[in-house]
Amino acid sequence: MSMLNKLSKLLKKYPVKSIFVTLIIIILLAIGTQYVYMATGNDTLVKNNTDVYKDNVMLEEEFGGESIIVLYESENLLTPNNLTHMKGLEEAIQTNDAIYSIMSPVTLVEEIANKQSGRFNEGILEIIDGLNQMGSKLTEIGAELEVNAKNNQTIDFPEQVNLQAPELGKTEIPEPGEFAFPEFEGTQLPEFEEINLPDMEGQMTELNKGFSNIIDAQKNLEGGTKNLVDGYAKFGNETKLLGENLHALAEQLQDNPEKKQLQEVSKGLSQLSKQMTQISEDTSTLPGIPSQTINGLETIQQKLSEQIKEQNEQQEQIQKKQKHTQEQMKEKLQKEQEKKEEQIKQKTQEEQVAKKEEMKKKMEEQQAQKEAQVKEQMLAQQAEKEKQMQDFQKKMKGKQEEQEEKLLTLGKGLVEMGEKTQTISENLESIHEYSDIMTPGLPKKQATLNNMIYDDGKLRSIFDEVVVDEQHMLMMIKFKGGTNDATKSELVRTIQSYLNMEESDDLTTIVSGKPVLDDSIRSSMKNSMQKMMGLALLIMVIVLFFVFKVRWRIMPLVTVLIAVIGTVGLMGWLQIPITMVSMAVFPILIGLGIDYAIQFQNRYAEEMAKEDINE
Amino acid sequence: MSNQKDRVKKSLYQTIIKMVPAVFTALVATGLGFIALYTSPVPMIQDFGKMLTIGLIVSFFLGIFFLIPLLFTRDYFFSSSNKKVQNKLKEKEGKPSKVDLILDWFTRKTIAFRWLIIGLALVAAVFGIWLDIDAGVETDVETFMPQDTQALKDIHKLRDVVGSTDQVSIVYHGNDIVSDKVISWVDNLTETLALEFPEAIVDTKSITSVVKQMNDGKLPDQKSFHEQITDLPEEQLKLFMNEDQTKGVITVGIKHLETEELQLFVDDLDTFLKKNKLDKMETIITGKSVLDIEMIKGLTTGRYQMTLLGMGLVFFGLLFIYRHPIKAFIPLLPILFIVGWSGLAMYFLDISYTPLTATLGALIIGIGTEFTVLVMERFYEERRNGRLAIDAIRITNKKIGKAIFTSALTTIGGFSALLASDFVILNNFGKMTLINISFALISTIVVMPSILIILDRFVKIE
Repeated sequence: MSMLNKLSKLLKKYPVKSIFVTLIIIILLAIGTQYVYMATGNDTLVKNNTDVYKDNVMLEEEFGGESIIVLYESENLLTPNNLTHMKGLEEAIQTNDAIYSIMSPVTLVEEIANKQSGRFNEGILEIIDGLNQMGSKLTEIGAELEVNAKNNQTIDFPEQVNLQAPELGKTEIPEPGEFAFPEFEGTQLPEFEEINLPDMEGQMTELNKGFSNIIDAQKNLEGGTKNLVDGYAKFGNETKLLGENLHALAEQLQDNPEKKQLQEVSKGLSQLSKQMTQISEDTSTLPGIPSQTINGLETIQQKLSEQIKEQNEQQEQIQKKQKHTQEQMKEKLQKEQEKKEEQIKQKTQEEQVAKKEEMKKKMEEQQAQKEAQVKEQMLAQQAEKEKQMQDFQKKMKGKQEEQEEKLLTLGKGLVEMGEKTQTISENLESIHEYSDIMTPGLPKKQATLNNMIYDDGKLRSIFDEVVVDEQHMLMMIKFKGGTNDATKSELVRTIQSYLNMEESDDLTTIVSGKPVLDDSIRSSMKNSMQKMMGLALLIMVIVLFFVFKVRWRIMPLVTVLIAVIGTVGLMGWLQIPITMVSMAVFPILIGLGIDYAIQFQNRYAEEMAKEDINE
Repeated sequence: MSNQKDRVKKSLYQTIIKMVPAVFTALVATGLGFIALYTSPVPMIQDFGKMLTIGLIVSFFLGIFFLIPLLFTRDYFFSSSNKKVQNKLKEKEGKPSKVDLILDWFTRKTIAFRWLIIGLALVAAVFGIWLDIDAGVETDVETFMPQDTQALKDIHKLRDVVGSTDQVSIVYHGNDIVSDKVISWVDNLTETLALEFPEAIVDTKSITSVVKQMNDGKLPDQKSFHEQITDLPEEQLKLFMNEDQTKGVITVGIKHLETEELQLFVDDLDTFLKKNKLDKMETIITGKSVLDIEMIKGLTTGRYQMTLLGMGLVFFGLLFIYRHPIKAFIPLLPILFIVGWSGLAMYFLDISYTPLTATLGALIIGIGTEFTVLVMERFYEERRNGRLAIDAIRITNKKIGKAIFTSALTTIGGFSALLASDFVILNNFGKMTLINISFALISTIVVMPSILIILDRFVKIE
């Protein structure tokens, strides 16, 4: 009771001070209202010290929290326009720190483009390297070729040995010996010497060998030239490809000076490749020349071989013939001798001598005849051969000269080309240094885009997550774990304002997801609270008017209203959030709190009236 | 003038001496009821309890330090002729009004039929509690909010297009989550989960499903798996595996399930995972849906705890003040009835428990106790004045009935503002509080006299 007495004394003594102190306290509390926040998050549903809550926090920390989903709906969905729209949205929100990840067709397309550009970048560097190497090699080859072409390649024909007509050994005609008749036995038959034919065979084989060497050399030359031309053609193709690639790249690039530059390079490469192909076509006959030469040479060699064979045969025949003749003659001679001996025996020595002389003469004649015959034959053959050889040599020389000339041009061309290639390589390098142009952008053309999105007309499976069907695609924006509601709402509003600004006729967008829903709940909560407060006050005024018949009957309502303000302020100071549940506090508080005020005021009025009666 | 000042001083003194303890008792009773809300496992209910308690305390002190001094100041310093009003009041008090007569008749009738009334009230309460045990619980935030919101329509549309926006996440962690064994385990889970729970799962995604997508549907071996995941876009990889590769997640997209179905599904999923456990690999089922389940548990089990604890607290509070168990128990008995009737009303109105309606028990303890304590106090005051029990009741009802009616009217007035809210959760809560306050009024005026008379023999009057 003493407490209550003191309280009543205090209030009697300092009523006005009490009112002001109370109001000041309330004002101090009310400052806290600015710290009041509305909560709809998980921590309003489950205590933050439970395992379930901690697990969820862990999940959000490791793999991101709630996501906003932006749904794109369009009849014609995957167009560069729509993707650019999406890209714009992505750019509008990208700087937000609270975002854990963004997944959309755009990010995937860019990912693909990035990879391509990475590969492309590497490719360009490789090309630069390759071109440089190729250039210097080409120059080298070209220079070598020139040198070679200049002191080339006179095929060293073996010097045509002047065929010497075989010296036919002088047949020594037997000197008619002193007649040592009747020592007839002593008569020696003329020994026919072996006819020594000239060593045609050796020479011919050597010549043949020489030819083989020439053919081999020519074959090598052919192979080399062919490789060269092939390589050249290949190189030409590659250059062409490179040119095309560069062109494609340039197409993808934004319109800027670099694009032009790149296009020029690509054009240059294209031209170069054309030139190269042309040259390669021109020189493609080059390997044919040695091949022709080889053919010619082979024919000659064959002929030579044939000739050697023929000559061998002839020689054999001649020898055989000679032998045969000699034998015949010997036999004849023997027979005749025998006969003669007999005759001699019978006839005179003169006769014998005459006969011998005659015979000798005859033999000499025969031999000479034969000799001349052979000689003549051989000479004719030789002359013919020589002529053929000379013709061939001439032909060869002509062709060689032609070849030399072509090789020389090729060499020069190669040198020039090598230099050009090196220049291209340098240009490319300088282009590559503007690395920003290699930053991949969204494709501008439907075809390029389709190429990225579809694989054989089917949507690439990587897009499954973000492309729902032909009319719907999604952008998923995942927040980091522990992002506060205000940040989420801010992002939601950024997205919404972008979508409102960039409205498009054939495109419908929906922003949704838990953060959007929560944001909407929070704003509805605000509305709802205001509405409820207003209505509660109105109802209270009416109720007080009818039920509470004392002076200043509205005072309890004023009191409770001040109490509500103080309570809200205290909530701010104590960091108690307003939730969907606790927003019901205000009407309840008005309903309950006003009761206390009414009871106080009622009793006070009652007491005042009582005094009156007692008086 | 000095007369006037003395009168004002005396009025203030009387008000402080008589009303502060009475209102304080009511505040303690109400506050104790609300304090029960703190025991709820659902944080938003705790916050609700805190705010209500703070609000009432602030109101109480404002009443003492703002309202009373203000009235005092008005009459002490700016005395004016307020006699007209007082005279009117005097006239009114002079002869009994029609309302008083009806109320008196009503009180006599209730006393006559007290056993019947108690019986009926008890039966209805028991039936209500029996129904209440199986009452549905609603924790889907989407059903709480205004139903015509664009955002809600949007999310429904999104759900129609995409199939599902609800997820359960299975986090697995261990030393080497990219070993062949783990990869094939994850792959196996990813493939079989949807087959195992076709009624709930829409799709399952994991690191293996992503890699398989990149790899023409085949699962590469460990070495090329490593290459594949380094090849993945970072934005995609980090949705399924953390940076230091100690934790991975299987994301299970599920249909939008009713909370009870969801609970069943998660329990089944947990059993399934335990059956298919991999050594040294821990799995945790988590995600928003699992949180929802936790909240349901909090609401269903916490609801009775809160109500019983509220009653217990109020009982001990009153026991502390009155030092008499029967006197401490009497104000609670009508509240017990109200809790039962409230369950009955919810059943017939088909309103399911939300985090807010779950607080009804504690709330009605706070509000109802105020009424019953006032009635009881007045009753024993009259008894102390030497009146018979029946007379005491009649006077109590006559004197306090009006005050309680006024109080109930203001409370109803405040709570009815809840009906204006387009939040379904608040709207339903508003309905239920109105019904419960009506019950409290009925219980106080109709049931309370019967209780007081029946239990009167157990209470000694000094």
